[in-house]
Amino acid sequence: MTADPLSFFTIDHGTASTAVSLIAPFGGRFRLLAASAAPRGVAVDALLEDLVARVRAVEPDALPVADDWRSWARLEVATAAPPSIVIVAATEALADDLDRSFSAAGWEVAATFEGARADPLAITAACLDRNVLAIVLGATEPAASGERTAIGELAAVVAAAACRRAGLHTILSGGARIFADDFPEAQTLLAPPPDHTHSGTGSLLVEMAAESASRWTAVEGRPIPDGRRAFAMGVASLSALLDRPVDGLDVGHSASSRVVATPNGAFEQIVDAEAALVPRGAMKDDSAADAILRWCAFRSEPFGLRDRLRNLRLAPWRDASGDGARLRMAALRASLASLAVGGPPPSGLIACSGGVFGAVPPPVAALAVLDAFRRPGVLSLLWDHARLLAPIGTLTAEADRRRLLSELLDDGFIPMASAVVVADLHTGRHPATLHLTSAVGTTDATLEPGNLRTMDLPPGVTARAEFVARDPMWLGVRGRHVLLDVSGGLGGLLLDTREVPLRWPERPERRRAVLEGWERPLWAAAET
Amino acid sequence: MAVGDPLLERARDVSTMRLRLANPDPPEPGETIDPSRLPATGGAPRRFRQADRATVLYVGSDGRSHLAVRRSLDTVNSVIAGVVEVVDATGIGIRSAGDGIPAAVAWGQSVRGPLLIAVATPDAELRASAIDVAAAGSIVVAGARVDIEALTRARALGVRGIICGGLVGKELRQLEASEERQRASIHPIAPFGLLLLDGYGRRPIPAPWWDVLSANAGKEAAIVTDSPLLVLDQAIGRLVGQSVVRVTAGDDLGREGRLLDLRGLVRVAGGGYLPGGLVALQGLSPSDPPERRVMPLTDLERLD
Repeated sequence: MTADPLSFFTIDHGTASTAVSLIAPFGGRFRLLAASAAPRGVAVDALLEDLVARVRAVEPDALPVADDWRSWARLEVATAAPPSIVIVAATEALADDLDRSFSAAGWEVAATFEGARADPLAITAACLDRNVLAIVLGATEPAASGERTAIGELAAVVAAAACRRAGLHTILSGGARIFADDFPEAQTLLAPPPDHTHSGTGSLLVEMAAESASRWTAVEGRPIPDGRRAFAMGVASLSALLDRPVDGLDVGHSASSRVVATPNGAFEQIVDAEAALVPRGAMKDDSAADAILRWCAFRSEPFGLRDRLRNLRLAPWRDASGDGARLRMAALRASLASLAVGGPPPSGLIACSGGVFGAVPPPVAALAVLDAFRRPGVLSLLWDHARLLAPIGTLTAEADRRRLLSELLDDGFIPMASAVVVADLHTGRHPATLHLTSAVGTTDATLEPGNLRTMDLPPGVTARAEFVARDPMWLGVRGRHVLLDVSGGLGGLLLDTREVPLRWPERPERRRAVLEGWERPLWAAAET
Repeated sequence: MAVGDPLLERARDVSTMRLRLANPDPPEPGETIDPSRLPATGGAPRRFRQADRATVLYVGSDGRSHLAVRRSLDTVNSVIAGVVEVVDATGIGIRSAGDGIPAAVAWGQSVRGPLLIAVATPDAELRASAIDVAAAGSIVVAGARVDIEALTRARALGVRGIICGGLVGKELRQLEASEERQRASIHPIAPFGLLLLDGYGRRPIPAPWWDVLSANAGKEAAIVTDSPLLVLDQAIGRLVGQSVVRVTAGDDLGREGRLLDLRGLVRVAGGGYLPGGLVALQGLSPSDPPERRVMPLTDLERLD
């Protein structure tokens, strides 16, 4: 029992930075009184002491028993670097399915081997790499006739490697489960085959793989809940609280995740190490680095950009101003594009979390989200600037999570921007018009296809948008006269008549010019 | 384990083969077998030599053993003194006492040699022409950057390793390609290690590390590549005063100064806000007065 049991801290130990916040009762409800983030490795207590000192300096009465801050409760989460896994499968198609499933569960696939021709020496070497935590052996169930010889031989190779290395976990999926007797029992997990109907944690295999990753990487002694799982719980509670579907995006240094939650509490999560801000593969593979730099909107010497990108992985907090911010924007775009691949279209509300969203101006970050997750209609973007969703997600009672989220909704979630994406506008036809009415005024605009423009609509202000056209347009609903309610944000209202999905020029220089054309006004507005 | 003691054998040529062993007991995976003593009853594609080593990978479903045959063996000697704590299929772990300088990136093999300071200042660049035969067997401290010509010349002259602040990634790729070509020839390659103390690109050696390296010039040091570390038996260095910081990004990269005060959030180029601090940067020359500047704390590194 503490002297002030209601004040508490949230702590999110990321792989690049640690985010802390101080939450206390104030004015009859819980308020976010202070928040901060620092590079990982900075003493957490120093950060917490600074939060308390800042609040006391501004409002001494807000924390009547502040001297006891060390005893206050802490909602703590931690994210670890994704564990590595080796995939061995009887067929190439199955190897691809397993790769997708384990990648979606937050594993980093170190190597993939498939079929009877797989090199046993290479498989053994991959399994004996001490950075590899587990190996998955997969076959269809029942094994097809063409697979039987291959899977028997592969099982012998993998079993031999597993016997040589204590601590190597083995997952036998689908038809490979019949070889369970050949493997050390304590280190072997039997798993179902990949599921084609779900890409995220809705699949039994992905769920099991995610749970295994969390369990096998947990630090002994003082276990801290896994931040990515907790983030999913937080997003699900936010969805239930707002009674609308919510997408949660967490872009991280070592992996990123997307949560698709529905108001009934159900959610599906994808955790992808390849969608990290700068994935590990980009440190050595120039083509992987160049794939990120394709999203770069500024011109620079390519070798120098690769070096800066790799330094971003090595020291993510450095060089965050000027071109450093623009480089982070490119990495953010690449990460979001990777997260969006193969997933469902976004819901109308996206909650964004992760340190990178604080490194670029909110309107620019909103554009990155809008370009990756496209859907005709209204899109609202919230920024979880204090990284509260994951710590709140650790609360066991759903009612507690909802109550806390409802009281912290204004403090903890900044409206980045709203966007209206209008599809099916065509050049040469009579232009559609927009009449925007809000408490701050009335604006009229003509909608030309292929444009992106920003309209002033401050955070907290709602507006009525009236779209009129001679030909039907697509705004989530199809019609010639559509009325929508929109809310403001730091980036105002983004009016987007570009394609859904976007089509990018093949030539790098043309592509860069397109990106630069869209981003320039937003960067300019942020810098003025 | 003393410095220079044989630690392990590394093969330059590894192949696999399948045979049925004469012994009725199936071998254990990982078991080392001298292939010349075993009858090969089927599918022996190559002739074994007395010096070859074979390790059992696995026993197939047909009862035949699959072996990894290692040929052209090099002995790897220990670059540090210590106690071997772990020997298993994944590697060898040695506990050693000493002072370590952590690095951002390491490449190549672990090596040992006397430290040779080849540049005058931590932000200088090492040119190929500055490396001569006197550097053979040593670990060369190369300043802020080293180019591929200098790296190639250093290897050719027998330099054991290079320590620098940064290296352009393109040149590291070229070095890797060169290594691949040499490995393909199966000839013995002299061990060579590279340590980047501060990251990629042109980056001055951090001043405290420069002072330590300078003070230990001529003394033995070891580059350990996993994880990236320079190990000194006993480092001699300077004591850094309180609140001394180093600039880690931007135009003032590598300069030192003293953090005078915190300034809260400051607006930076690009429109973002970052926590800032008031810094008194040392002048560019000793006669210059300190420059006071508000800088993002994220671009500063404390040295105390």
